[in-house]
Amino acid sequence: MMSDQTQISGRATATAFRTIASELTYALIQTFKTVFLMQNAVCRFEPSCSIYAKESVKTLPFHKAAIKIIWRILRCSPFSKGGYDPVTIERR
Amino acid sequence: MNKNSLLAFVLIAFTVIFFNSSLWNNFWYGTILKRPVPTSMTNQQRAAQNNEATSEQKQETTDIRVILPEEEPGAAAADGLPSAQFGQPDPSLDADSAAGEIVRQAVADTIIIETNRLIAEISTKGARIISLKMKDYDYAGTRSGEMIDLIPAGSAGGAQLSVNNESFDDVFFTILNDDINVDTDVVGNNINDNNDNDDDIGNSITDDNINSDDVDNDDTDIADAGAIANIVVTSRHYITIDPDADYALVLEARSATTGHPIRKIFSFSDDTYRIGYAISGRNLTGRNVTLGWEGGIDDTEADVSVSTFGGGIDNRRAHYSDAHTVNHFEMKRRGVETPSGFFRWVGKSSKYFFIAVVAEETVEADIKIEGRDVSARSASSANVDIDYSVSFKFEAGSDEIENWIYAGPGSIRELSAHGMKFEKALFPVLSWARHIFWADAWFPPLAELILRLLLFFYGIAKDYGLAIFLLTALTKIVTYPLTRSSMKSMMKMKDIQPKIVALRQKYKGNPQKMNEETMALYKAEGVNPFNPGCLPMFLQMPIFIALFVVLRKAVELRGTTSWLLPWVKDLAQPEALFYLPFAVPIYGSNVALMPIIMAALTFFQQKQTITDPNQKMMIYMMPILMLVMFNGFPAGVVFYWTISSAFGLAQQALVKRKNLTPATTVVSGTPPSAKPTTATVVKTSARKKSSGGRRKRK
Repeated sequence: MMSDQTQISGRATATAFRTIASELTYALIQTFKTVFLMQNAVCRFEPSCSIYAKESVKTLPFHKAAIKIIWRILRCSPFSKGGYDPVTIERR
Repeated sequence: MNKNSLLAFVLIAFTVIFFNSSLWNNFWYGTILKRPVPTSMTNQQRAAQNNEATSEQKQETTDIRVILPEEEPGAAAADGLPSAQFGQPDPSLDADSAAGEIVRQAVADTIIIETNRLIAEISTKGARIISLKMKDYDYAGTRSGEMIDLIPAGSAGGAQLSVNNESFDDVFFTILNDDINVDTDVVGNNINDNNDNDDDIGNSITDDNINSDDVDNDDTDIADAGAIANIVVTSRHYITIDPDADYALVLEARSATTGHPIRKIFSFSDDTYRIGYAISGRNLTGRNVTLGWEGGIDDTEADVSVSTFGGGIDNRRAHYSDAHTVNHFEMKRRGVETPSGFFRWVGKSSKYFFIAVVAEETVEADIKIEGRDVSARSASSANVDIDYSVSFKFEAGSDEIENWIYAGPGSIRELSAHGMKFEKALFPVLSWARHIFWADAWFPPLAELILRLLLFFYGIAKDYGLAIFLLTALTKIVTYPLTRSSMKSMMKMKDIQPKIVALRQKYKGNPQKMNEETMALYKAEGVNPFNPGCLPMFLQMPIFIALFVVLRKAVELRGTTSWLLPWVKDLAQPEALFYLPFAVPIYGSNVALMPIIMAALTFFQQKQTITDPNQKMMIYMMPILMLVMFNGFPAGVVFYWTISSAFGLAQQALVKRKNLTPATTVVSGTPPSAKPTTATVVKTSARKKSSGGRRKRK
């Protein structure tokens, strides 16, 4: 955990880029929800899928973030129980 | 909304503007695609270009000209110069041998056949279809009020034929029908404007209708003259077919290599867009016959798309099929595609129209689809670049092969009437989209179902606006259980949100404990059982997209109005209350009413759902986005979206009112009913715990 954070904070531009990318992801998801009239969708998880996506883009490499987001959305169905499920960083 | 999210929005807006700017277009089309950037023309310039193109076409189709003395063209005509000797097949009647002898020169006659659906013009030169007018459809935009001619001006037309690679497209054919008397035709050589031709057609049609004969040989002579001394004489024969009987036009030519006659037989009947296209000839069996349709499909829609997203024009597509599965094809640049295999037909489609060349049976065929750059033809759209010429080459199974052609609107009723799976060409899934969850397999049937439902509702309501309304109501009813439970749990979540925030604060460093506590809270509040989650919402999306595609592309909606929306002139076009004198980037120059209503609805919706102060900006951002985005969409699509959104708001209000009073009883009533779920909740939390532990250990 510590090493990841130092790596990220060590490069200010990378951090800024990630922050903007995560906000962009969030804005796109919100736009998507609005355009497809899905504002009523409620996530079974805490934090919700959109926040989860935002956080994972912020903290993970893009391909991992994408996989995580897709997996999260697939899990967010009546067949899962939901609950607290934050973005976790797996360390080697 | 912090600085970063604002920046994100600015980035999105910038990207959209950039990719629609002339800067990008110049770069992409000018540099990357190495072709001239289409320049916008005024209507007059366009009309002039069209005229030029038609006169070029006329000259091309009537390649052999009667060259009359320059001084007195009128006198020569009065002599009754024999222009052609049809009726007796003569091998010398081809282009090369006729060049020297004025007397024996052939004239390209044009036979105009009118059914109650279409007006086809067939030239004796190559026996090709050189014009195909749709009686029920008019051009949109600058040429409105004019019947759509599927064959673009200046193109090679349709119904090409070659046998063993010998092309018959420049060979003069003889008309074998007794009812068309060609010998007495060519007299006049008056100089006519091209535009007069259309008038003449109209006149003679009315004449023909009075005549009760099956087929009339009421001939009108038009001499098209270039500005030069060569005077082109064509004769035009008008035939209106009898509603009860088919009409077959038989044209014959001799092969230059074998000397055998080849016949092209076009048959027409009322109430269909199907044109019989039989080929017969001695020793035809075993030879390679190539049937083609070289001319593309004309641009029938308005040239200038008012804004970025909607667009009136779609790319052309090519299709080929064995009458069971249909392959679709779209080129971004010019090129040739040559699929081989067992096929039945090859065709091409524009947004609203479809042309196919169909063989008698499924045969082993070589198909050639050639994409040609036609950007010069359309005035301003960068979209329509590629038009297709298609050909279908196969070995003739007998001396007479009964092929046919479909050329007409892409309406599902017409297309599916032929049993050739033409209707599959309506909603193809192309390029990247087909990789999303096998969209290829499920999207076309879904869109087809929705279109059929729309037509069903139209059958009841007799009004497309009302039909869209009913369709929306139906989709809302179908998805109501989903939305209701979703809304209910949303209200609950809203209630318990402060508690969750408090929990998050309390167990900041302990995700395991946090998880347990959240689950316990959910259990106590009874949130879970009602909430379908995010995935089902995604599953609704295909319905939305299919509706969007159907409402945008259905030819049935083209040019229709509705009493529900009296200010809308065409449900398939973006509406406009009035036009701004300038075009706002992305928004366009039209000011439409429904997107404004929709933006207002979005605003209320957002105001109700968004409580997070960080997202306050969204409440104002989203309506603007919706307004800008939907302004250029066809009115039918926006109407659907607007009422759908209104329905959503109404449902929300309904659920809210129902839930407000008995809220406490629901919560207290939950524990006994939620008992079976308690065990599973514990189980999952236990699993979460163990996985969390594993992560920690690593």
